[in-house]
Amino acid sequence: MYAVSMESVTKRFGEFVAVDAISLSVPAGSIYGILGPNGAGKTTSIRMISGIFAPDGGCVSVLGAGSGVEVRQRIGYLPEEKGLYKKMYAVDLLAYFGSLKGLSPAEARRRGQALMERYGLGEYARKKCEALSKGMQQKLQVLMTVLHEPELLILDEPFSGLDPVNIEMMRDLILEQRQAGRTILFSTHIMDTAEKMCDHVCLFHKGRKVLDGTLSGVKSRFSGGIILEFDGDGSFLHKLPEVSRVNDYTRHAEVFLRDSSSPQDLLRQAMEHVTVRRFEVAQPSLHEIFVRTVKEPT
Amino acid sequence: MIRVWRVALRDYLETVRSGSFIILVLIVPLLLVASIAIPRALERAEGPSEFALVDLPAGWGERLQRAYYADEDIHERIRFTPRDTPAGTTAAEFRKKLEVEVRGEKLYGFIAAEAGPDGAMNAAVTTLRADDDDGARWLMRRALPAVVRFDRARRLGLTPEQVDRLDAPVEVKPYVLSASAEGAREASATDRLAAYAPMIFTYLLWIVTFTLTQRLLMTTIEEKSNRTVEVILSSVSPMEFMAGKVLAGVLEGVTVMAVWLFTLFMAADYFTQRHLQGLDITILFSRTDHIAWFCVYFALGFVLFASLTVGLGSLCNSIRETQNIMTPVMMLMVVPILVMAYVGKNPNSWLSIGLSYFPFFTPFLMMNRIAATPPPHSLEVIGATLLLLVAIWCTTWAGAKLFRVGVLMYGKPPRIGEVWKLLRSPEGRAMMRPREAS
Repeated sequence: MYAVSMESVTKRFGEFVAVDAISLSVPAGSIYGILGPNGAGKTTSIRMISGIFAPDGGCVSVLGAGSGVEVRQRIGYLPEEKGLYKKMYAVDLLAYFGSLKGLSPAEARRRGQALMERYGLGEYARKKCEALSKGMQQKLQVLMTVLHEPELLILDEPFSGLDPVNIEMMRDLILEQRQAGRTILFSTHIMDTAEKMCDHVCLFHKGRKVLDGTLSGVKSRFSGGIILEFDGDGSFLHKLPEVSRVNDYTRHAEVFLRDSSSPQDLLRQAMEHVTVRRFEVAQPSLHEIFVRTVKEPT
Repeated sequence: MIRVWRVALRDYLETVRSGSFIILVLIVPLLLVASIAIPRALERAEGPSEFALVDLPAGWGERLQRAYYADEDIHERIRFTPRDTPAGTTAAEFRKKLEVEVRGEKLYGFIAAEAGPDGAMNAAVTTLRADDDDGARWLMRRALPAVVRFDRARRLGLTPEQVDRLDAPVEVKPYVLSASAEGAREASATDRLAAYAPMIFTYLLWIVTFTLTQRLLMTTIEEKSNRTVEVILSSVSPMEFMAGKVLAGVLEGVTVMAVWLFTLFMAADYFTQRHLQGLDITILFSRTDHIAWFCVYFALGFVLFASLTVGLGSLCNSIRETQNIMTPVMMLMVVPILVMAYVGKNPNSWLSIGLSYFPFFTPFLMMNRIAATPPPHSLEVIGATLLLLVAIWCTTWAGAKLFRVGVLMYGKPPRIGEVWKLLRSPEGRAMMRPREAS
């Protein structure tokens, strides 16, 4: 069963095609990552799923409805660029957004107060938003998203601009929501984060989908590289004929071999040139998969 | 509808609690009270201006005192002190001494008699400045001319009684024809005041509409620039959001006007009771049909301009950017103010009729005509109001379309021509790309 599905969805802004015939399916109860660099069409897709934009072509289904508009009250949405009414009291702000999501003002206020207490903002409930620190404001925005206990959480670049403490808070919150049986769909251009959290991923590039599936399924489609950690000069790696490509980080390298080559040959060569501290035949990272995919014709 | 109401209620409460709104609400009553109370308080604090009565002919002083005691209001402004030329001093020397006193502001001025070119006696008033306040006007235009006329009449051999009869106030009775019934009735000061009603209503309507649409423009741009709008649009549709904002504006307008009208009425009632014999300022508030049309045209006019303002404002990212795009709307709002005096005096001229049928002027100029004499035929009012409703439908449609596209659009705002293209483009297609779209 899918919480969200898009079929051949297209969105244009004048002559510019932001999203080009994209199809994807988000299984209910999963953490689904839409990945891609800036300008890939992630935000536009998320806005179409949320019902903020209408697609120009194709169809979007959200929680069984024909569009996000029909099920707004069952969705929690956190945009990338987050804003608050600076003059409102924090608890009033939560109550207002909760009431727009269908809660009664009293219930929204009660839940808002409880959430603020739980996330360490209790004493700031009667402070104006402008008086809160940036970190507190970010927390408040996240609480606005989950206040009405939505079935589907849509988070656009949820980790961007957060400090380490709030990144941890956001990660815990996402996992907590998943444990409560909710579906989480988020976009990010940080592959590392997606790799650690997502059950399913979908890679966008220039408005098109280039890859999707479960994280393990996607990885299994690509041959892995070799993780090499060493002391010494790693420049020899670039000269080896059996090596097709190297992601060189000075003392850590991800090495990709040609099909006919064996890892043993590489290990032998490496031991001749440097002191090897780690040698691991690994699955490719999402970053590597993405780089490889967008370089190949789709 | 509940979401529209919740958006409206938040906007309304947020606005009425703000300092700038409180200033807006209080500014008119405060200015009204201040413009009346402060000059009076200052005059009282300074005390009456003292005039010396110098060597006046027999009977002049007595006549002047009679006029003085007949008018109590003048006691706060003027006081007389008889100062005849002392023995051993010439009149010219004494005048010089008084002039020194006036220059030193120990004395406000002095009043003397002097012979005119025809030998008749005239009054002469010497002061440091040529003031034209209530006291000076009373002295120069009423009291002294009466004294001089009395003197001249006595010299012609008339008895005091005859002089009094001759000096009795001449009354030219103005009669006005009733617009609603046959016959004429005597015009009162209140009738003359009522002639200003069209302008008062029009100006009040205009200033509230203008001020609140500007405020709406600012809050729209603020919500767009501080990025709250995207969160809201995940909960309510653009149309609901816009409707909520416009409804909040109407509620703010009702609040402002309720306070202003109440204050004006109380002030009018106070002055009618205490100070203005025979002049009933509350006449301005006595026509319930005028007040009803005033409310109707405020609501309709506000929705007309507010939906356009919100739509166009959503295309901009700062107030400075709105200058070009809002100019046509501003021009539409300014025209009624330029012609309101003409329309009030000529409510049924072809120009007045034509202008009042143009929907963007209807709220102001039809109100102007309704409050004027004679008012327009009720069919005219209904016809113009129906046209206005059609225009509201169009501007709301246009405003909503612009708002849907503009509110998530960043970068350089479109020009007027591009706005027109945008309005004509198919639903859901924007000509510009939102900056965040990725």
